Amino acid sequence: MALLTDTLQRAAEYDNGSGLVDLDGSLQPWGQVAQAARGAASILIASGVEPGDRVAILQPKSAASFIALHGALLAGAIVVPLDPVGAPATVAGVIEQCDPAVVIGSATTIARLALDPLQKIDCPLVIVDETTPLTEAGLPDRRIIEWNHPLTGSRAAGSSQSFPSLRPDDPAYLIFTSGSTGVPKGIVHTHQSGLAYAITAAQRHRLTPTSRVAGIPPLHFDMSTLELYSTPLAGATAVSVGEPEQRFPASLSQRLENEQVTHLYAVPFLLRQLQERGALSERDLTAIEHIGYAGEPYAPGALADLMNALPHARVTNFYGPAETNVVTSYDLPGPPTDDEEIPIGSLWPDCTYKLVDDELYVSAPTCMSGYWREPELTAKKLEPQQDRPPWYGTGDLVDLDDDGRFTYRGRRDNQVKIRGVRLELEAIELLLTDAPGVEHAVVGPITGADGQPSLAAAVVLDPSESLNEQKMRRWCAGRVPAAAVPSSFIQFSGFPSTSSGKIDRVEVRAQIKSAPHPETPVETKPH
Amino acid sequence: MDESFGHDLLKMINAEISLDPSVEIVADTDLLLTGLVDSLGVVDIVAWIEDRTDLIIDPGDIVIENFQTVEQMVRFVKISVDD
Repeated sequence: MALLTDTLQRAAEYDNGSGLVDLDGSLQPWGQVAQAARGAASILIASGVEPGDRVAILQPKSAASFIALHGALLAGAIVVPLDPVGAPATVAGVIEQCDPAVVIGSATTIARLALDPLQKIDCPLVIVDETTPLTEAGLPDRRIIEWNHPLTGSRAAGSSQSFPSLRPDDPAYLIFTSGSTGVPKGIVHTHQSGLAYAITAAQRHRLTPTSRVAGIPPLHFDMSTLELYSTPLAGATAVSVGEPEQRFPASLSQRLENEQVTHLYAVPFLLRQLQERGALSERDLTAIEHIGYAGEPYAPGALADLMNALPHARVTNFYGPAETNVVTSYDLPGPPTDDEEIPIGSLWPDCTYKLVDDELYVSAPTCMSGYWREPELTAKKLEPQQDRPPWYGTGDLVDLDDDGRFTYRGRRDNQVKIRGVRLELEAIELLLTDAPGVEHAVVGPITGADGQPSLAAAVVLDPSESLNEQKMRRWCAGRVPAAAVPSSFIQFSGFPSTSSGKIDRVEVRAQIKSAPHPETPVETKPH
Repeated sequence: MDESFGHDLLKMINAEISLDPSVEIVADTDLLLTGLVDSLGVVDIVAWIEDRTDLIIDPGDIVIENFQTVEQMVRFVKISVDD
């Protein structure tokens, strides 16, 4: 096995009743999924997609998007999953950066994007995975193919079709994160780096052919690779979880019960919502064996609440930037105490580390090959080594204990992670200064009374304006990822400046941190 | 539940919750698949309904079937008030 596409072929060989569960609960055995992926690949190749072309996927989670993604890989394309409910401007920015040959979407997601920023989408072909006609989308001069779900719609899925032969170091997928100037940057993972992750992750999540893995993280988030590749690799069953379930914890818990899910992998934010608002006492979730979390620290008290609510589940903390995939993990021995420090754990196999001024550098087989079309940035961030994967400086400060376990101590720079989403404060500040009435803005991380991290914004307004927090939040919500929307706003009459006359952001951020903040709005009100 | 409840809810969602002011939300607009309402919006809607009706909504009732459209919300509230 050398390619990510082999994971699906491997799954098809198990023939043990495992497969892919769609949103409606129907199960497609892996053999059928593999055949449908070949059908999708045939359509893409016939449409002119060549190896190395980008295929952007703008579809919510479902069996159809899983198949489209694997089909694109089989066609030799580089897959770029996009956020189907993301801020249109952000999505359009990613499309501009990756320059795709095809965008695969649904009538809904394409129309949503087409409303105005589509002017930026210079993409010759759009595939629509729905029979709904695309009347409102306004896509002049673009070729549009409507494919029914290849699983049922395509009989072209013959095994006679030959697919391009790929090498392990060919790029397989791009994960975009925000850049400090507001231009998104693409992390390039190859078949080799993706597969190295998929193999170790299958072991560390303890996947077996009887496992049923909930596919919760959206496709554009790299945590979805567990479901996309590790799950078929282990011959386990992947349960697609719809996007709306992310916003309805009680619906998510219902789905987990109905599908007898055994494995969860999600960011702490979502797991906390599940525990606090998921009506767990009304659900039978005893099938859950393992819960993995990643993306940000889990407040120990809240994690203990989750573990006490689901006492039969073992919990693992996974750590790693999107550039390297997961590189350490830590199995919790039991519910942590309130002030316990939960380590990020010990290194994964074949990884080596060095500490430079307490910053963790790793050399890992799961490391990216570089940043998309950014050779200078790549050279700056990756330090080549003889016969070893390059060093990557994570920017994370860590301690190492005598048992070889790392504990996260903070960032070396201003990067902030909220709900597992990497945010560049400067980019959000830049955007906020465009908001109606805002003259200057400084954004900083805060920790709510419940231990939940979020952003708060300090703003200086035009003298004629008064602060309306809800309006500000809504304004931001259409333009940045949900995690980047400040949970509270503080009005300043002016900002302190540094000796060179710039805004003293360090000082303002310290004031943001110490200011009293109201209950974070994601809390339900007490009953 | 008073007559104007559905009308007021629709008006409030269009004015304060919708992430895309260019879309006119009507009673049967799917709010979830289109990304018009995020998780923050759901919480705000629940709080508005609780304030307006004096209902205390059980977390187990905050599910997709009850909140996908304004129509479904009105139906859910009507049933809850009658109970």
